[in-house]
Amino acid sequence: MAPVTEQSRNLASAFGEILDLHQHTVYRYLIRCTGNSDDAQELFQETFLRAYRAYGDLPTDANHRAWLFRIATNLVKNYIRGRQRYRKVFVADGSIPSSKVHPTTPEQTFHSQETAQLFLNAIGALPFRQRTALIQRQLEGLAYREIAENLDCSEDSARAHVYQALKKLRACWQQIVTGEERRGHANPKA
Amino acid sequence: MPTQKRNVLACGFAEDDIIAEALGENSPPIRQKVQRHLTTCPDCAQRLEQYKQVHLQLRSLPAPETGLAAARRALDRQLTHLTADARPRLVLSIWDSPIGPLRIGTTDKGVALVEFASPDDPSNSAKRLEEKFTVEHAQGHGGAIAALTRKLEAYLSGSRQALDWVMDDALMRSDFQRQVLRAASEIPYGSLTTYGGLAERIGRPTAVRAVAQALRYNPLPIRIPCHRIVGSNGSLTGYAGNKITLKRDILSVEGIPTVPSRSGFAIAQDQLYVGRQTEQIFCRPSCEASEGDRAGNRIFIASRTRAEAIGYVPCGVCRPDLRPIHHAPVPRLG
Repeated sequence: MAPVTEQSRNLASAFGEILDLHQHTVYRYLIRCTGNSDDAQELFQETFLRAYRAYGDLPTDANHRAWLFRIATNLVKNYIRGRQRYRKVFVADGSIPSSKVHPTTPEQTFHSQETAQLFLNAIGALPFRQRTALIQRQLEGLAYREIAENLDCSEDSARAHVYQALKKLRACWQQIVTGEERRGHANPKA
Repeated sequence: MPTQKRNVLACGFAEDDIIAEALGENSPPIRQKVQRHLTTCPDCAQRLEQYKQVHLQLRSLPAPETGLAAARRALDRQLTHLTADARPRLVLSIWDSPIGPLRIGTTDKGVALVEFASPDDPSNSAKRLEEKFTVEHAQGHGGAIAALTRKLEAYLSGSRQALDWVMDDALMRSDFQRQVLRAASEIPYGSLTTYGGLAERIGRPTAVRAVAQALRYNPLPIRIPCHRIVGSNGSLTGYAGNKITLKRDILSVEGIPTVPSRSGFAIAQDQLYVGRQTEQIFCRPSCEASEGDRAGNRIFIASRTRAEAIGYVPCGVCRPDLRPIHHAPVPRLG
């Protein structure tokens, strides 16, 4: 009848489209941030429930992907700071299945599920800002400007968080490589 | 690039420039600077290689979707619950009608509320509305509400007989009330029945008071013509509380003459034809043929035109076609 009510009828279906379009990205982001699927599932639902409540007030030209990242990142912050158990979770949880590690070229793959897990553990040990900035930049390809918005910081800080995380991961990588060499697991093709 | 607190390596070179080089984020001048440095510093060259490796490893990290399907199902359930729980929107508009200010409430299904608004009373049923709806107050009178009030204005001026607004019955209180209001809607324009008559029509001849109560709480007066129901002695009885004159005004719109009475106003029964529904006949008020008819079979009709409009033919006994009722024209509104 009135335009207002027509808008409300369309709201649910428009939101459904956003959900379909971005659910994979959001879930992947959350499972990488939390390191386990139980928490990722919980945060995934909360992210989209919050998004649904705020959706009516969102400007029509809003970037939905960036908006969802922002909501998800805030939840990850509470998750990490609230529970302070991320290190334990990363080490203990085996939800990264080995079949998902698809070899491409020798240089680009992990030598084993074990090394992939070590790398994930290192990511899981990063503090909130470094972890989310790294995942958003390196794994999800967000611009520093978008990351800065999500973390409420400057672009320079966003970049600094990513670089700081990379420095730690380089150290981890060094350990992985030396460990493999010591155990004679080095990739023969490399 | 961060400009302060850069991590300076033993060789004096900024580590951030090496990282940016590995990520391909350096500007051409910095690129050149880094490349020049690398030719002289094997340590930094190795460092760069390691960053490149880390960069590649990160890109090839598994992207597990274990649990997404389950999370989505759970989310869908919650969203459905949310949407179902949400009270529908009711938009209230005030329209200054010829019979006084009216509050009209619309939902996405149709018109749910018509109320005679008084300035000192925000809404007779504000609390009840809040329980059922998310209430909004319309800004301006454009769009759908304008279309509604145009029809209502035409009705009140006597130029339109069918007020065919699409209705939302959300504010009706019970199935019994719905039944009573449906029956009231079947009383044609320019005609009347009594509370007892309506009770008979719904097959509950003894439920006269219940019928009156159901009409009293009609959420859509005018649209559902509860004004076409009067007391068995012809008195107008209650309308929208005690707005008897309002009922008289609306009946006058439909050409029904009224006279002052002890209790306020009554319909002028001697100036109305009596319609016999089963026989599809209309009679003069004094006709023997209509005497003893059940109240449910009888309606009072304002004029011959109105009787013929609903397909009734003149009675062969009292011959209202040869001896029509003459009464002074019923004054129009305004």
